[in-house]
Amino acid sequence: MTLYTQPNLTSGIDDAIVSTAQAVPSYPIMILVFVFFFVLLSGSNNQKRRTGSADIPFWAVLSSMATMMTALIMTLGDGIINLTTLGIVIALTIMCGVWFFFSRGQGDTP
Amino acid sequence: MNLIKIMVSTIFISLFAIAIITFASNFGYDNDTSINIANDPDISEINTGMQSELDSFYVNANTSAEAFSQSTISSQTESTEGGTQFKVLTNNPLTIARRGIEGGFEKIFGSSSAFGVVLTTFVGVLGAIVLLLAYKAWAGRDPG
Repeated sequence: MTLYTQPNLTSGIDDAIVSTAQAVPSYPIMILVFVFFFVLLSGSNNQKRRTGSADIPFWAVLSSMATMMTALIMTLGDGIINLTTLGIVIALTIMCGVWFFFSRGQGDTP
Repeated sequence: MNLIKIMVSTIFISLFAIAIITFASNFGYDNDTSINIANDPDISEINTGMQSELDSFYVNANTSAEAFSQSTISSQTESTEGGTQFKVLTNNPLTIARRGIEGGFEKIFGSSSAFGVVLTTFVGVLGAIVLLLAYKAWAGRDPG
């Protein structure tokens, strides 16, 4: 008895992703979370190293954009993410934009 | 000037949200995806609501800017009629600015109504900022 059903790789690499997403439903969501925090933490840390301070709302917008693009590509095939996940990603992108527009950037005068 | 900053922020939040939702739904249509954000009733309703709000903002900003530019101070016993210079301040430069922006905008974004709201809103914001700056120059303080 195998631990899980092996995906059929002869029908393409996307079939393996769909099979993994069906076996572990949180797998695509964890990929999206990874993309978000990877861009957010690496970008803001790099900016802090270079300039001394990090513009967190700006990097939140950039990372949510990267997450949204990843989520949009995941919608191409059936069974990877569902409409609720996509809606939450879009809503988070808009809220990060709201945060960015209301935040005070480094170049702003007080 | 904090009022202009907050106003432009709120307007651009709307434009940003409309652009994101439109981009995501058009991505679904263009690539014939299995999951399309346009099928989500909440997001679609928010998008439609924001577009109509921006349309009414454009009309209201134009109406108030027009009324402001047409207003005059009638002549008194020891002063002449004032405020006539505002009749030419807002209308003509804003029309010139709109035509100048249109030239680049049409070529880059096309004439789709989904992005057309960006241009009309931008001109509405310009008109409202001119209105506020004129008030500040006249009254010497921020309105409100």
